Amino acid sequence: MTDQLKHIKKRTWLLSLILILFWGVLIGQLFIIQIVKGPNYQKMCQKQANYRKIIPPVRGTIFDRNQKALTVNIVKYNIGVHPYLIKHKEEIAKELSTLLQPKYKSYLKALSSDKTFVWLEKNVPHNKIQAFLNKYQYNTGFVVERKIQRNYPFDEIVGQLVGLTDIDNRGIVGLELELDPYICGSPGWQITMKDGWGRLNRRPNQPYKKAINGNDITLTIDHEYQIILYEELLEAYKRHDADNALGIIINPKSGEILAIASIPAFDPNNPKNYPVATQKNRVVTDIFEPGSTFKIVTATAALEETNIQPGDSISCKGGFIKIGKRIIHDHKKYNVLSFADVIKKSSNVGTIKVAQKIGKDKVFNYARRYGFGAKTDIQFPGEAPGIVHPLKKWNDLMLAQVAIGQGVCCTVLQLAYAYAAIANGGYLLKPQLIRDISTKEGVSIYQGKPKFIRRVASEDTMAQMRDLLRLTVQSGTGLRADINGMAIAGKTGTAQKVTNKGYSQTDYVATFVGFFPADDPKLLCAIVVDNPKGSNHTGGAVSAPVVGKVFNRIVNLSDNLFFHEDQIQKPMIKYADNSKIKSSDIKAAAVLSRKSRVNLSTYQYSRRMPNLRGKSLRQAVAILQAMDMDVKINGTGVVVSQYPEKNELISASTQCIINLEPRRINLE
Amino acid sequence: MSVKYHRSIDQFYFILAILLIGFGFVIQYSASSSLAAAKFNDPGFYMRGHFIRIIAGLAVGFFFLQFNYVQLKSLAPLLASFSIILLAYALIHNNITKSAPTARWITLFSHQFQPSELAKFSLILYLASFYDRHQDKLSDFKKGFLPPVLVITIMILLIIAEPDFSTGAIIAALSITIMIIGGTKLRYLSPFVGLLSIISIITVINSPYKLKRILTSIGSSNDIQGTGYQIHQSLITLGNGGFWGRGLGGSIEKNLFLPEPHTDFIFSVVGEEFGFIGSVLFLILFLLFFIRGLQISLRAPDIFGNLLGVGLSISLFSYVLANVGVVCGILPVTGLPLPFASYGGSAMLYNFACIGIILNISKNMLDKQKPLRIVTIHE
Repeated sequence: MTDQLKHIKKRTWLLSLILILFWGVLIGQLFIIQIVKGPNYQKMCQKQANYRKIIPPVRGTIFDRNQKALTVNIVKYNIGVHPYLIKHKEEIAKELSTLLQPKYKSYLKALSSDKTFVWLEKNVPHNKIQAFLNKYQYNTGFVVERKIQRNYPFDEIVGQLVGLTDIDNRGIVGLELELDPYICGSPGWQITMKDGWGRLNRRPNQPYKKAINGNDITLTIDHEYQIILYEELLEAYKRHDADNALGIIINPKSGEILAIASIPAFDPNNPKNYPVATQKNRVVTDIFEPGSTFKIVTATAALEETNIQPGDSISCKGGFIKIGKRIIHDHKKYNVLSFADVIKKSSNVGTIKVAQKIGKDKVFNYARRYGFGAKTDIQFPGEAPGIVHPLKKWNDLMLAQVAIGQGVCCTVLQLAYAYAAIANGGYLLKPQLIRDISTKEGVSIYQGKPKFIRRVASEDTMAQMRDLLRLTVQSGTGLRADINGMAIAGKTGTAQKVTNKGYSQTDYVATFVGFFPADDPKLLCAIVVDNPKGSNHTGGAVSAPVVGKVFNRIVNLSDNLFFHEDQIQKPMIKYADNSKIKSSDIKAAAVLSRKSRVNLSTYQYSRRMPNLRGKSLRQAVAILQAMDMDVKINGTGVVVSQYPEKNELISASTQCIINLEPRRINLE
Repeated sequence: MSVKYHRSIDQFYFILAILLIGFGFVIQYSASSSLAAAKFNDPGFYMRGHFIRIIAGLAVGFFFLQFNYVQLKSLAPLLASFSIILLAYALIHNNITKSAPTARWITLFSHQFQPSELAKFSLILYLASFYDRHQDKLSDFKKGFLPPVLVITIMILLIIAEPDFSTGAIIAALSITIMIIGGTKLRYLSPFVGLLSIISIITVINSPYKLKRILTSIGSSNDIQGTGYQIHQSLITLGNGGFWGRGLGGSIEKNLFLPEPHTDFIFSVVGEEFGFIGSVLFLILFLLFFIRGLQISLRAPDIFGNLLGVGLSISLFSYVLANVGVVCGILPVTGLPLPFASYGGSAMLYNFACIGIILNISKNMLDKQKPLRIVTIHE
């Protein structure tokens, strides 16, 4: 071996050793990155590449009592595109303009955009997307997003009742808002992978959670009654050039609302085309002075608490009465009237005289008993409580005014339920709008039951009241509500509108509340026409005919009328004889009472605890609130444990404890 | 004079080369498929390109097995001059503008080539032949030191002017290494190395982006947007592999999160798909390939063979180290490819040329038992 080679070898290995040492450093560095810090980098990678795709739940449908859908979920599609992935842009733009909409230029512009992503078309209906998918579903570059939109087939007719949702499909008006916790459902998710350009690609076996679809709601509303009410109100509204026309049809024995409408209405499919004010369901939210329709309070008190009989004479001489400085007139001069005629002819003077005889306390008491001045607790947002001034503020003038329906305010809803108490023999009922709430699988989680609040007056008194109201229609102010062959009973009201200068002489509120058949009422209808124009502005002339026509049309749907009979009777018997409801009569968690009132405490009712596990805080609280339970909340997120356990019997005083923990996403 | 030939090529080296080429091909397809799909709607775009380059590389490698490598010696000065001309041509031909700020390419038969790869090859060839011929004149400054230094300086300056600092730097280091191994007197070399250091410091200070990259690699710059982002993504990719890796094709980061997955950062994908165990095995393959290359070269029958083989082996291995060093974040970001795996034609041809020449040397290497030395006499 030569010296030269020896030297070359030595130097080669020496210098190579430096490189090999550096090689070792690299191995060490790889160890640190891949083994020591590996888990950190893995988390960062997941953060970059995992995309939690939200799967929207299907919102619950709202049905009328005959399972007619008042809401429809429409599936629409948004089409987006990654322009850099599209070749032959011009041909594709041409094809898209035949498949979707003839917008060749805008498609071409979108396809040629240098952005990484653009929306091509939004809200594409189902029938058009199919043609698109057939052609392009395997073409990388296009992205199709499925969207569920709410649509309302009855548009203006049930607009205010059903309400509407916002772009996120959450209720913002009406029942959509009130029942949102029940019908919104909860979204699921799916972990998908995205790439560095934000494009999604499916991979099998990724963790996911199914969306829980919203519950379906069955209302007590009958869509045919609703159409009738809506049409008749609209006609009256137009004929009298009124500001508003409000109406409600209820079943006076069960408290079920069968139709409810206020004109002007709005179409929840195009809310932007209507003033925001039209979104209010004025039957529930707006108060007005009831006028003569309020005279039932005085009349009931007189019959129940004093020995005044319908035949007793009352002097209404002069046609006016002076209280302090104020003079209150009758619309017509009467001389001496029987008490029955006072109501029938709606004499202010006579009513005031009776009220003075009864005294403030009792008139006040009966106003409250009828439910005036307190919310009915209808399951509908924005209810107004109305105004009945506290007794200590009452003077003689106040008494006289209240007797004839001035100085008090109520909603049409309250008025209807006060009259329902007359119709059903004395029971004030809670307005019932929801018949049933069921999951999409058909499991009922709530069943509406008639709910009795208090007895207003005795059966006999109410029978007398019914007779008086029948007389009013037969031969008094409510004549125009009468229909041949149907014993309609009712009461008119013509209130002067309150303006800045006191009671207006030109603007009136015309009211009529009627029910029929008078001896065994099955339907009750209240109509209020706000500020009708023209010479005939009275409740008898404006509103009574509307009630007549509504009843007439409903009778002609005859097979529907007696449809309700069955469920009307049964529960009422239970209330009437104060029999105990056995726990076996009621499904677990089915009976939900809102407020435990003194009257109800004698009932031995029992309930069972619902299963709250897995529910969100909002859902759990909504359910417990609906059951009127006290709840103690520990933590946030979803319910992981509850006390009492599900299906345990609970009483009204049980306090419920729920423990919640944040939702965990399992990425394994 | 009797010359003993090993009639066949070195099988171990050959197998290592086949393994590296095969593995490089597989990982190229895996790493580039997402990018190719996104860019060209064709996942196999880079894979096919790589395959064609391997075929071309095989032709080149085969070519270098057809004759005795000693014949290359006479070609060395010619090739060196030719590559200097090409470098200058690239500079002149490509106007360096703002939109096209580099002149690293020349176009030939509608294909682009990097003359710096040829320069690297011809420089090693030239140095090997020079020190083979001037072993007795190494003490002579004018005849034994100055000529190679001049050639080296011209080439490096031309490459830096492209501008391609990293290639320039690595060729400089490589040249100095060969000079030392060739026996250059250190008293001459030291000032030259000092001069080179000064030049490189000046270039770094004059180009802020270069400085920034170095700072990033040291970790004193939090430049997450630019090169820091590339390093960050590279580390995530490596770390995501863990010990066992995510399996072939299982890389997540190659889906357009990792920049340059098919070229500069292809090793990150190796680390992600095959884990620590796989990347270490891959690096062990390279290490064995390197050491075997050195062993073959040092058993060549002449100094030309020694230096040529050693130079080529070191050049390949230093590219591996530089590339993996960048991927691991301990070297500043450079555009140096990983031999056999990264996408790129010129480098592929160079790599195959290296294999061909070293196998050629192995055909002629001396038996261990008979350390007989051929002494070629230059007249």
